[in-house]
Amino acid sequence: MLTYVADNRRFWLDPRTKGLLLLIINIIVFQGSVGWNESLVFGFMAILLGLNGLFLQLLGFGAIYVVVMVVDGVAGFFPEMLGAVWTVFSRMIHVYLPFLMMVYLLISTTKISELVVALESLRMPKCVIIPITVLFRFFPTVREEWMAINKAMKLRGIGLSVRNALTKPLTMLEYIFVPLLFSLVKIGEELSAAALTRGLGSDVKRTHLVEIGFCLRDWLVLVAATLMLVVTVFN
Amino acid sequence: MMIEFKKVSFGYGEEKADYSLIDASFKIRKGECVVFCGQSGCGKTTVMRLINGLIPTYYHGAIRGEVCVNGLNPQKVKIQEVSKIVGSVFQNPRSQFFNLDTVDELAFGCENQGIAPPEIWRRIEKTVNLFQIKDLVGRNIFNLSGGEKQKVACASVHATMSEIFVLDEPSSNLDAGTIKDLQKIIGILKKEGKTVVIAEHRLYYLMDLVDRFYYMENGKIVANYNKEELKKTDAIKRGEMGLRALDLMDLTVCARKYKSRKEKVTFSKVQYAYGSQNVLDIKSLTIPYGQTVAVIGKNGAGKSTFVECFCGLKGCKGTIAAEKPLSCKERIKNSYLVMQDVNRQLFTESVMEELLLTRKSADTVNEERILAELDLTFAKELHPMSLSGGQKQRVAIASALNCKKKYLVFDEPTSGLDYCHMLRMARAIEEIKKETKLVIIITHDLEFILKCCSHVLHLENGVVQDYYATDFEGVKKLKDFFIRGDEVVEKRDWFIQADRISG
Repeated sequence: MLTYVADNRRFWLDPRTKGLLLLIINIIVFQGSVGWNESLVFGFMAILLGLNGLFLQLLGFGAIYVVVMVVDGVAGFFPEMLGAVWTVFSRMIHVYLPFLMMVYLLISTTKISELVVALESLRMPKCVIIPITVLFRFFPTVREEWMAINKAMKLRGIGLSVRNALTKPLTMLEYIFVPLLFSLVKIGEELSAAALTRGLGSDVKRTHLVEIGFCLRDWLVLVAATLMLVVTVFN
Repeated sequence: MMIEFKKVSFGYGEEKADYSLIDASFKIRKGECVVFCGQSGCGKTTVMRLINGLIPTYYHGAIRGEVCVNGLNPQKVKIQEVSKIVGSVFQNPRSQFFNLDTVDELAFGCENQGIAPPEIWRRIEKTVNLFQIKDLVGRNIFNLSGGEKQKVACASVHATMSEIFVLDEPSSNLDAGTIKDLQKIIGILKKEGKTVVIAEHRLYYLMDLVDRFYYMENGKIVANYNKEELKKTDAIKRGEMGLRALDLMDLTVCARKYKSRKEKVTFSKVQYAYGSQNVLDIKSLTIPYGQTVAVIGKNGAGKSTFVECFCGLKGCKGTIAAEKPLSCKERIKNSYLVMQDVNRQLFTESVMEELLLTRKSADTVNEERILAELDLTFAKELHPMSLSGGQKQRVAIASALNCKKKYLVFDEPTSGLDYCHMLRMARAIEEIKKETKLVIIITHDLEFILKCCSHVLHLENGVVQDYYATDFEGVKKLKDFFIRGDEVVEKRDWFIQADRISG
């Protein structure tokens, strides 16, 4: 009997749990700094990424975090202008990093079919579910296109370098987005046509192979997140 | 009667004067396999869309006449109803999957029909066994090769128990080996009594499967043949009809001159690895200037890695040298890669701007000359994205020539091209040869190689298997590879692994 391959369910969380987590983490980081809440959330997210086996990504996020902390430490010695710019930049990283980690976790560990089922169980109407799932379907496509376009730009001598990004940021954006958008529009059109011929959007109630559901893991994670939220809000 | 068209005409959009399909009438019985062929734009895709109901749900326009598919009129009922009896496979394997996981994709059609999960599992299992694609179960769609994607696409239609299969240029993006797999799958469908309708101009792989060929021209069905009748038609006339060779065995090399020059590019100990897996390992290889080299090999043989290393897009070990060793940067500066999906490398608002992107100068004499050589003068002020696929390709070539690139590399320049467009591409390559030192072409297209390549580089598992001229002996080797290509399949597991690592 065929079944789903088990290994991508390492620390499997219900998509609804992940959605809720995204919300909670948002509230915590945008609540304002109380000095340690962002580090707490960062630690929490790091553990979740680790449990899901996303070690490389964890390393990447961790490196950014460490660099920002170190520069923060010596930022007192910066000239006034630079110091101010850095403070803004560092705040942004602090706030967005855990949030980005959560988004990454959500996208990379949630299957489209799971997402559909989760949204259906939340009684979302079809006109909400289909766009959201298509959007989800597009993330890896965007990544693939982006990498190809990057190569094409390099070959044309308009590669994405620090120098080009600083001297002519708008032109660079144009060079990336013109082909990217055209590619995505084309893929999107073909994708919708294909989905229609597969009967998407029919009036029959859809069935689904994947099963989702809350288990102990979900509750533990949610309780931990709620605790963090409470501590932050009442501080 | 499974499918019947009675004097059907269709025009996209509101302009009724411009019909893409004119007075098409034909009948297809249950269990038949039928091909619609003809040049690109002849209306064969329109026929497919009328059968699977994408017209009028997705593509709107003016329709006359009557279409009947298994007793239904796809123009009157909802496309979801049609989807229960008609399943479709499209030409671009990248954009026909809604899910990212093969199991979900196989189940997708059934789920939409509201079939109970145990039954879906049963069907998937049946299909997987029938198509022998157990190794593809549970894989990420993005890590599959083009051929594997087409197999999954066929399988997922099969799982919905559709009676009719509509395939729109399914072989466009496939290599010789996987075209064979596709052939097998169509054979299986036929044996199961499914009705199969295919739009295609590559016919050799369908010869033993098809009951009837309909030839279309400018929206009209102008002739229909069975296999014997089609074989009797004149090869030159078939070329004019836009049809590719019926039998690869019959192809011969076109006499052509090339001058190998003294200067050359040498590769020594060039290696590239994903993790610990060597995907490219070239001990030594010399390519003299002036040659046009076709790079062939199975999927995963390292062809793309080879050209990306050559263009400097990938940093590799070892040396690639012209007169002196070329660094990555120098290689990027001197070479250009025309990608398979050329949309990704057109950046500006007009063709002229595209050419002037990196070369700012007051006069445009050189630009005009290049555009004229590539038949693009008419498009000077047009937006690149408004052009056809072949024209876009030529814009990319023009922009490369204009920045004086020495080495021009193509990735599958003829995938999906009919005979006439393929010939035009071959002619363009002849032009390009004059302007560049070396042309390298990754291709799966035997007809095209014989038209314009002087040499063949055969890669297998990242190693140079062979390097030869397309003379009499060479053509024999080429045919061996393209027609009997099966022997090379055993390394399959290896490339699936490499595939996973790179994904």
